Amino acid sequence: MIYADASGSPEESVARVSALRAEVRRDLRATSAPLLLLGSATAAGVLPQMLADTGWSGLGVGDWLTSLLMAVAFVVMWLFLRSRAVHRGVGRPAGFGAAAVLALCFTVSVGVIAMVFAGPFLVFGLGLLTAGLWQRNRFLAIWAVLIGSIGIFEGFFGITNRLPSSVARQWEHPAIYLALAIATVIAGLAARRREDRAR
Amino acid sequence: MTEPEDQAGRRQSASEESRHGHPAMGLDEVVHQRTRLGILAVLAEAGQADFPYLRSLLELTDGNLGRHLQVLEEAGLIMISKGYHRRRPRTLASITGDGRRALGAELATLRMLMTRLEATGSSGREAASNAESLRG
Repeated sequence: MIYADASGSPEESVARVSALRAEVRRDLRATSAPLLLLGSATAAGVLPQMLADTGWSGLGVGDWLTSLLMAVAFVVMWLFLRSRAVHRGVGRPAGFGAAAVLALCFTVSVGVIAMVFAGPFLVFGLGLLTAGLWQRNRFLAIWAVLIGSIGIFEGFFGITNRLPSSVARQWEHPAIYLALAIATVIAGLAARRREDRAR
Repeated sequence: MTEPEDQAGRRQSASEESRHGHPAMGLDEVVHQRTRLGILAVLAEAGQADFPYLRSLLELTDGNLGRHLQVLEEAGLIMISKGYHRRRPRTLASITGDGRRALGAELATLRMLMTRLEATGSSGREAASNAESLRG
């Protein structure tokens, strides 16, 4: 039996702790589920905006939809972790409820004003950082800061304005948002693969 | 000073001792035990877990797990709460701040031992037996 009573060597003890932690992360889908959900929600909010800007669709919706979908993603994550805690007996949804409330408050109040300048990635960054810190999940917190910062920078057209004018198109701004959403989904898939290796 | 605080104090002094002596002196009996180290690792990652989850993940019997949980609770490293789920009694364990610190200190000591072993070139098993003899 792997987890017998006798103490092993330091290497064995450290390896066993790492293996157990990996198994718990797999059971919780602690890193992959939030990234996949949030990345998909962001893409779903940005895609109609991009299609409208390229002339493919008449459905031109603003950053508020992306922020709203992000808030919904945090709620879904809260419900998912709550269900895991009740049915599988592991984890608690700490942080995602707070992230959802924060995202909703931002979207319907100060967020409307803030988003005009900073864009929806303010909600992405703050919400995911809140959840990551609460969950003590370093990867989520780092991802929140990294993608949140790039997204907010682009919210002020920080990347778009630096592109050569020959490249500049109307759709490049939502395209950068979409790239960040896709990067988040890819990070989620990579995290899921890593979690599955604990089996 | 309450009993858990007293034990936490002893743990800290053992850790301080290890800074001046052999790292093995910093190993804490309560935390170093294989099953209890496993319980703390699971709870540190999950925050909270119920009795059946811990029992199945750590492959333990009810009595064995109950005994280890009691030791950890008495040391102030975890908290046990009782509740109900679908009219069935449910025991939940969660890690305390002291528990997180104790696990961190244990892992730091183990890594220190590993580094020392690499430097001296002796095997892990030898070091474990040396550590046991030093402590006991």
